[in-house]
Amino acid sequence: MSLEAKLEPILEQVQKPARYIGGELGSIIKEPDKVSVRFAFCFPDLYEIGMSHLGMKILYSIKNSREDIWCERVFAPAADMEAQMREHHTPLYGLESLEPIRDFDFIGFSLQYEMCYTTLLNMLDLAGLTVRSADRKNLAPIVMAGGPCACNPEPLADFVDLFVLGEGEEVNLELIDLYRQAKQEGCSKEEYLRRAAGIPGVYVPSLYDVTYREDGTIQAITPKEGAPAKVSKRIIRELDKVPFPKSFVVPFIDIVHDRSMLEVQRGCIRGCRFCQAGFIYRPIRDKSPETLNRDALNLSDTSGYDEVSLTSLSTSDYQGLEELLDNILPWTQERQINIALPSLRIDSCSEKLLAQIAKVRKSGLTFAPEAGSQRLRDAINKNLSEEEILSTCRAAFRNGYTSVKLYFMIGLPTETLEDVAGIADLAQKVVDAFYRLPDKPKGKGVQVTVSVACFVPKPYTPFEFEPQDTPEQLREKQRHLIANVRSRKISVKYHDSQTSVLEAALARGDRRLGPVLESAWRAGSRLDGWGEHFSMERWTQAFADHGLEPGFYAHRRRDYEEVAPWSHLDYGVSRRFLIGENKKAWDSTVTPNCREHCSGCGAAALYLNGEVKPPCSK
Amino acid sequence: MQQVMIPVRMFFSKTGRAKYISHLDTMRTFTRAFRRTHLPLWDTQGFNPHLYMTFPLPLALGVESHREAVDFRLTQELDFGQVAQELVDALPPGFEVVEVAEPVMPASAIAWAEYELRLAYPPMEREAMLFALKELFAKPSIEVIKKSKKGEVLTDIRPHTTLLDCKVDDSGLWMSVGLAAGSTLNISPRLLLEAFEKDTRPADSVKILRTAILDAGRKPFV
Repeated sequence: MSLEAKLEPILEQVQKPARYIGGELGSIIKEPDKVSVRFAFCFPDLYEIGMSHLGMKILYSIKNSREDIWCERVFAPAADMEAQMREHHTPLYGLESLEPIRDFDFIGFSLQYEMCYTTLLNMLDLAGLTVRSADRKNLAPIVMAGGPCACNPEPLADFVDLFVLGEGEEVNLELIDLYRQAKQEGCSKEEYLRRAAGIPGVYVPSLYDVTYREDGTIQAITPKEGAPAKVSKRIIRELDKVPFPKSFVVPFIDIVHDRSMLEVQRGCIRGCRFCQAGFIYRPIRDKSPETLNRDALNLSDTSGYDEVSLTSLSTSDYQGLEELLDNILPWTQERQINIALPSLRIDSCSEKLLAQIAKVRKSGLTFAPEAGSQRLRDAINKNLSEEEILSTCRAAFRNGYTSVKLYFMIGLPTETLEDVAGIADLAQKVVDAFYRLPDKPKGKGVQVTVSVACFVPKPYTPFEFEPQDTPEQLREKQRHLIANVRSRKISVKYHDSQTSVLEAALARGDRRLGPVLESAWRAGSRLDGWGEHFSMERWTQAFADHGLEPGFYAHRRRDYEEVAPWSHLDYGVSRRFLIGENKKAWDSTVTPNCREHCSGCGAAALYLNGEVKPPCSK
Repeated sequence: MQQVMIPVRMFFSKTGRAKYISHLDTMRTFTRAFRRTHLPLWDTQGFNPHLYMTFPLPLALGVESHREAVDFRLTQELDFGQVAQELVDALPPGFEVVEVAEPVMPASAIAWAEYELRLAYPPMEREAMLFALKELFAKPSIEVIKKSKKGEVLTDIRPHTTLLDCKVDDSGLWMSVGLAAGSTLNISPRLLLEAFEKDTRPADSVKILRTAILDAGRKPFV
């Protein structure tokens, strides 16, 4: 019986069956006997989340553009589907062929956030594979992973055969070609992994020994069998020349970001000290307005989407933005296509830009001051003044916006209760700015939503040395914030502090967390990013079972000299630079952005020996 | 100036993997398919214009169909063959264009729909199931609890149900039924199954296919 027939009775029992059956417009179907490499691209979260991810679309398109490779999509089943699959012994399958992925050559995971780690284990198990790398003896399937969390993949070192550091467009194909050769030669898995470790950007964790001191910190990380002492991340030097999809897989069901997406640039010039993305994607590289206009036209034609999103870490820093909008607005307006600009900075968000966006559709505006006081904004290097925030809000109000969403964090290094109260003060000033405006939108009140996340220290940032606030400290700050809000026009939303502790422990964790992860998963943890699935008790127990505690990883200050679990992985930005930035944070001193002045972070060295000059240099 | 407005009715099939797409998602799928064509489509003329598109008889999740209808409007006269071709190219797999025509009946004319149901049973049980089905339809009334927005109501569906044909086939029991359909009274084939399975064991699997949409005189809805 084919898997498709087996799925019939199952799909009748589950919510949103269209998640599990593929067949969407743009999904790529090939003849299994006409391809030599089968690749399962797994996103360890639900369909709605994974299908919203641009990186997956890019790599899906690049792999499938090769005739000999068939790349399929795989997402984590929701709890009801998982129960049905386990009951009916239905293994995890690719959405294109509906064939079990355990028979594929590669199983590749995208690691976008730490809370997906147990889902990765669960997906391997649902596929019918053993979760530990050492227990999978055959060459195929090779289990690999990439994405931002690969910058400290140590908690997953026991389960994943190899990690891709940095950008995957080129290295994915290199790994596949090496595999085809290894398969022809009849190589063992060990031999393939040894060879793969020779490809720049490929990290094979089993080729490194980690030793620990008595206090639990790392003594040394030692490469063996010829593996490099440092593995450097890969970057695409010329973003304008890298292939970008002409079409997307267009889902039937409503997903989180259901629209055309363009990547206007990679990297960020800002250097906000809390932001991992701002460091691990360096240096900044952009695409030309012509390329982007072409990409937008392609996607709009092939998808039928009524929205194009200009994505990047900070889209208003994109130098070609005005030219791009001049090219793109005439035809998008004619076709009633909305332009979404999800990552605008307050200071560079000009009134002209606001007016241009408002022409298409007025939705709410979202800004991220991150901290309530100027002193703390300086400490985190969020170079943004109160006046810039208020003047942008006034401009937005004049253009008809009446709701503003402000993102903040609590638990930032150097933060005091005064800084926390500053969040409420700033929100109040935004409300006051609305009512003081003579030409404010008529007949409507203003709504200011303050969204407060808990700060999580991440590797490769100047705050990687910092202790995270304990849940008690965070709760006290949350209470302090609420007590300081005095207007009904302000609503405050905040996040659960417990998930933040686990996120912090996993983000800066070492290999000893492998058994913890496995225990938590075996006890039932999966889809930990979803409140209804998360249980801190299960995790606390799993840590205790292995004689560890989350606080060691989350709440401990780390010396500058300590060997970090990720110290053998190189993302371009030097440790010396990060230490300097950390010291400046404690002095509340700012660092200029990359366009104003090069601060010598080290990422430009990723261009050494290349013919292309680093774009961040003048 | 009043815009030209040409009503069009497209008949299409929805089979295979497409049966798992809900009605709401089907609407979104069609909106996007229309946007991928170059057809001069008529938009609603309101404050927030959007594509005019209506489905005279929505199809339930999990049910396949050989003949569904969707109504839309064009702003200029076009050959229906050309319209059909544009839509053939734009629709995702599982949706096939059957016919593009001028609407003759209003959606309110719909009164019946015909379905084929395939119920899988082991060979030993099939004849007994066929007998049970004939017995069910021999009864003067078939009472089931019908769930509606107003709550649960005990309804006699017998007057709104016709057994057109039934037989044992190589997977179990096959039947063709006519059920009341439309906006005032709509009997789902699942409701009939529920009535059948009150006295018999549930089938190993069920396949449902809508074969026709009819008016009160049991003439095809055109």
